[in-house]
Amino acid sequence: MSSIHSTARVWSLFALGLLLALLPLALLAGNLFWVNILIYTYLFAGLAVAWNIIGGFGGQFSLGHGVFFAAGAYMTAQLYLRWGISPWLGLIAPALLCAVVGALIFWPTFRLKGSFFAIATLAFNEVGLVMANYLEGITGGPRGLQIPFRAALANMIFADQRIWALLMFAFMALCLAVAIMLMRSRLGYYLLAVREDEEAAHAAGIDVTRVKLLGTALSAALASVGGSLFAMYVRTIDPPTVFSLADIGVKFALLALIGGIGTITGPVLGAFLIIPAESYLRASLGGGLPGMHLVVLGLVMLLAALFMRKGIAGAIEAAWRRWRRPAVRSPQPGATTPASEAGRA
Amino acid sequence: METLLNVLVVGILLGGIYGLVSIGLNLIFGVIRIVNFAQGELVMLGMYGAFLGFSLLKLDPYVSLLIVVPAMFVVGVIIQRVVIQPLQAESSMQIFATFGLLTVLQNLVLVFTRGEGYSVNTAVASLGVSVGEIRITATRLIIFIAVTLIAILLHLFLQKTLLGKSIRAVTQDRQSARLMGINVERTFMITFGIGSALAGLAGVLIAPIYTLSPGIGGNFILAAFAVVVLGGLGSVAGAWAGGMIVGIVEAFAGYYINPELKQAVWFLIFLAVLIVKPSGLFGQVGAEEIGFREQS
Amino acid sequence: MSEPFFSVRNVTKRFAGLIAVDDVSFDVREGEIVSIIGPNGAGKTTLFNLLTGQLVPNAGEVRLDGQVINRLPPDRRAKLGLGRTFQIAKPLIALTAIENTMMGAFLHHRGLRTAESKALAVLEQVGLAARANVRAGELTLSERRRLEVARSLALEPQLLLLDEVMAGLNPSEVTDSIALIRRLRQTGLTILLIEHNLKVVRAFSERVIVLDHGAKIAEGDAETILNTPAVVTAYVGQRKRA
Repeated sequence: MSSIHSTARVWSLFALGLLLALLPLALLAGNLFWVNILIYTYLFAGLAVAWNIIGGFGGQFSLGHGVFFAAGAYMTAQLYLRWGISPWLGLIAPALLCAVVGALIFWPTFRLKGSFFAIATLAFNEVGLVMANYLEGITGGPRGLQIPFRAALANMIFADQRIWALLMFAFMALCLAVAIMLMRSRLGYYLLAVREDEEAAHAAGIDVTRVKLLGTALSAALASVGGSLFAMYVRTIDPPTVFSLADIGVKFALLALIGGIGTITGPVLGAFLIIPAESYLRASLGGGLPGMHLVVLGLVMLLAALFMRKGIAGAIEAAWRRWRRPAVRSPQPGATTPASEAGRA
Repeated sequence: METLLNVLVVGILLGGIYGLVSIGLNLIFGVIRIVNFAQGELVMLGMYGAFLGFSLLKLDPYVSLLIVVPAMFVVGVIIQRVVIQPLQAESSMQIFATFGLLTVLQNLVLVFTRGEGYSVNTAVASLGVSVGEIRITATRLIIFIAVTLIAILLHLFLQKTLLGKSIRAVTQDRQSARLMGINVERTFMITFGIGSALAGLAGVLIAPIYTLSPGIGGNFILAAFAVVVLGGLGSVAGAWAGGMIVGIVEAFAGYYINPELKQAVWFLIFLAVLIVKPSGLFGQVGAEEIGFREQS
Repeated sequence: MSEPFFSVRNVTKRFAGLIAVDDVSFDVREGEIVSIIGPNGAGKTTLFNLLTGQLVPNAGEVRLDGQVINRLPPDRRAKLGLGRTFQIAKPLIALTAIENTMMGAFLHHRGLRTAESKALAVLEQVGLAARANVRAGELTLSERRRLEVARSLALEPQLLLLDEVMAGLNPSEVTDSIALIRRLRQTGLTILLIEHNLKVVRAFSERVIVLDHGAKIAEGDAETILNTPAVVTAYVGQRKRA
């Protein structure tokens, strides 16, 4: 009896989940309003999964991932605008750069714990915002960068929104596949050990700093790819957009938390709940009363924090257990168990 | 020399503002270690409180303090009861919940004001003294005096009064504090209330010098965390100094380096201090660990 | 045997003027069980942390199998074959017993499956196989302690350092643990343990090192040591539980 699911089982579940995630696109492909929403849903699902690698599994609650996202967006856009490098290639350089430089920037903050790490990484985001406004030569300053509409496969610019939806879907699938493979590897387990207790991890022969660096590198690279795709999709990027805390930097963490931090599926569930709800509320409430949709969203966030600490994934798991084994006592309320299914995915 | 002095004066006055908007967080994060991302919004509420008093009751902001400060105490107590208390031991959930709270408060105000910017007037707005080329307005001087006075009072409160001592005891060791007969929940509630009241007070005092907007709290929050951490967690004098450091650094960086980079400079100083000495410049070594350990 | 298997030479640790460990030297030979005893605050756990790398000594040298290790971080020492438990057990509470144990097993078994079977074998050895899929947070105190032993055994260490693994256990659990340590010893493992419970120390009845105020005040076989006047005053005099 093994606690690790077989490879075949995991990947067939993965395929099944992807089919399910594709279903709304198949049904709504004719509706541009919803296709646009799905584009953002897939993109942010992928980004939340990427954040979750170091934020959820590794327990390093970063609020600075907006920096990686922005780096991807700016670099891919500039490589394309200045040197005509196809964004398909142009998303690789920033991903590698974020993996290496990002991990190095985060390195000194790794000694900080919990909320101090969060605040420090938040400060990275703010430094990034100031610098993006200042370095006009690279970022276009406060005016930002505009990418002219020249539809072509090589330019990663498409007239048909459905192609974008598929591309973002592929990004989400990529992030999920990376997360699944990670959590079926030694590094994935080591990330969990580091999250749970650094001293114990040390004693088990784990080089904690190295594990954090590798986890951050992976997470940062994927976040950068998300930024690249975002830039090519919206074709206009400016500092307040890509460094926005509410819409970018903190959003990844929030989606993961609402869905279930430290689980494979949680961040995706969070994105599928929040992104459409947000867009829908903005469209239906935002017109009459600006801000009303955010009041509702803020309340959802608050209630989720208070009453659904393990997120949607945790709630589903608890319900599933109760349904399967009604006689078994529920897990102890005191024990904090963000995710042990993580390792088994 | 003249310019240097001028920049210094500007920096000190700015430091007064940073110190003032941080003083509530100094109590909430510095002392009882609640990661309150909505602290800037409490300041914002104080500003709108002053505006309401001004527009509805024709109250001078300095008079409306008498209403806004107690009201914000109540707001703080409610927030602590409803949002913070259930998440006492979970700092990442506090980030999440208070970010939700921030979103709600900010946008509620946006809904009510429809995004219109307001301003508040006071009788003393036209007063001021001139130091060289610089004119120090009464409103900014009042802020500087207020932050200094409050820092002294807060220090005395924490050191000398029974309530202040129990607040510190609760931070150090919840379990022992409970054994000594301290009502831990009530202490947290009152502390958060005071922290919120201080944010309200800051809001009222800065209302005459800013244009009110729902998102203004966002300008203060990272600065407030920086001030509290720079100065040293739990050290009131340190937080006062932290405010001055941020203000003066910003003024000098703005003048001598580049106005656009003025914030980046103190962000970087803040990061450096956080990384090198997380307990802050004037904090006890290890202070950053207190209150975050699992206390069973 | 010229070079001792594990040697501690003149190790000293100061904390802001206070000398926590004062010029301590001793050797451990391969296959031996050595106990460190001493009253509360004698510096036992500090000494332990110096050996495992949680702390770095101000002076002195620690060698494992001839290699100087006193500057290495804990994870490097673990890789060289030094397993340890903590005085206050540190299970990874959100993870299951087998996952906890796998964290150690990964050191020599990179693959998931092989690490898992190694971990299961170790859980079997410490009597926790039946609890393999239970979250560590739901284990009893005694099970948590055994889980810690399992995690360090999974490292396949050459030297196992046990920090008061009996503390807080009831008499029958203590008996079980003594039996477990005996079994481990029969596999050829070298064991260094900190112990408060003199009954346990007598049970192994091998070499005992006594610490008091950070310094080594006696060393010898259990029966002699426990009857030495200096030890009795330092240790028994302060603790009734002799």
